[in-house]
Amino acid sequence: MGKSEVIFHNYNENSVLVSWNENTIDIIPQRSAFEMEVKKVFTDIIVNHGAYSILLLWKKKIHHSNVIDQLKKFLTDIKTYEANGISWRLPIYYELENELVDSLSEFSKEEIISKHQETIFTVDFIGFLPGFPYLKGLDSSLQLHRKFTPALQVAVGTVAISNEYCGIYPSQSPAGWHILGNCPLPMFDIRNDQPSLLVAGDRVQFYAISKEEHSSMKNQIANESVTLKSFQIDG
Amino acid sequence: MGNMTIIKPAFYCSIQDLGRIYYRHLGVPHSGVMDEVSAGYANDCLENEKSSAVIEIIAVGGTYIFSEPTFICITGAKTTVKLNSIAIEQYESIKIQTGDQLEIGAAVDGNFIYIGIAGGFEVPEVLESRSYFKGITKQQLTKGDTISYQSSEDLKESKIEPQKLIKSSVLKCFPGLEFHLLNRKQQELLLNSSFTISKNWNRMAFQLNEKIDNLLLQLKSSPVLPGTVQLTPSGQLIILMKDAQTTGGYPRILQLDKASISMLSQKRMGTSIDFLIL
Repeated sequence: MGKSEVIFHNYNENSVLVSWNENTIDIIPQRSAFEMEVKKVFTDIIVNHGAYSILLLWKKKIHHSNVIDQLKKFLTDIKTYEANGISWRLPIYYELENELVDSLSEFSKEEIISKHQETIFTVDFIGFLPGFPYLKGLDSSLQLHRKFTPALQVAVGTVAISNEYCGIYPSQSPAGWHILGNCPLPMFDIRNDQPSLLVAGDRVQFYAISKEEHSSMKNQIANESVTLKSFQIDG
Repeated sequence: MGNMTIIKPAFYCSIQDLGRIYYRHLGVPHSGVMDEVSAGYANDCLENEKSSAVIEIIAVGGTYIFSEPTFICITGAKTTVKLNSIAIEQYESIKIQTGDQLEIGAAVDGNFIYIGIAGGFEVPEVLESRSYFKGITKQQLTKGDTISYQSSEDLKESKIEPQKLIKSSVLKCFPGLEFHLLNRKQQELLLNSSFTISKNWNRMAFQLNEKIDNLLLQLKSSPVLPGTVQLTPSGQLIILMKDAQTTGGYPRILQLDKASISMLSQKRMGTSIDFLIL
């Protein structure tokens, strides 16, 4: 991909928005590699990810054209990039909502579940709510538009899908996505050094658990007899 | 250590500082004072750090009692302030004695009132900020709550030039990334006509009354900041403020500069605004 397909935009006094073309297939490694190079030079930069873009914020006002000249150089060095995200296996108690089952009526519930479980998702970015992961890679046959009328409130841990994404609600929230089930792990906890369980670039595969396993897992996590790290895949 | 106790709560009050800037990659909103200029005056007047925590009150004040001597300074929206039932000035440092009762009335000009205190209010920092945000800090302040501060007797009483709330209707903007997708007529309407603040305003966003015909599609979720002006499919203009989420899917047509965000925060429902591209 040439530099010409990346846009650098003066977002405000102290930030630059870098946007990739939406046809960029390997956007997540491209963006991660760029971010890594940027952070080597601008060590205290603040980043805000989006789909196909990254907002770079400095603590003080910047001279945009000087900064952008520097940023352009970081786009050239990404071929050697190796993804360094963490791989997770996250439990889910599947409880498909009727609206979702009706919208995907060409598949049985079992087929929907198995398509979801077989997918290895990549965390595109965290947004919407603290710790809410946009998991990219949903099977194209499961892709639905957002609900016309959002649910007023869904439970903590709700796993839901919309368009090409699967997401996990870290807190009670109104929800416009279609509900697949619930994950017992806390997605965001300020007591942890890394408050968000997932970060951009991590990989996630779900596995089914029963309702009983879901509630016992929740207890085990609350009383710390199970660590969140145990849901990571080694190596 | 002193305590300020809330006897009668404000319409909405929260502890705020300059916000939570380092965690946007984890979806954590900026938070922080809506009007950095006014909150900054309160801290300056008390010789505090810029980042000292203040109390931000929306629209209607409340009643508070202090357990130890200190100094306070009330800034932001114009209101009536009484100390032990005697009217006092805003934009001055006020000496507080043990048992003093502070009463703040309704804002008559502006939306956000600030209480600064010598040394700043002491609540625990969470993710490098004391700013209130649901799910990140302790629940919202309510009746009977106490907020700690270091007692202080040695500050000189001082006064700063009372800030005149800037009356200009002009909000200075950067063009948003999707500004160029508007047609010429839409761009002219946006820049050459006035808009008014709707009744829907809060710490997350200010919505405007007048609409712009919009044919732009929604975007993939993309980064947004306080001050981002979004255009919804119904043509509504929404200006994101400090508690806004970190990503959004509506076209970003303008971006307010920082000073304009403070200025906008104090504009009341029905007030006229004009966008000016820098």
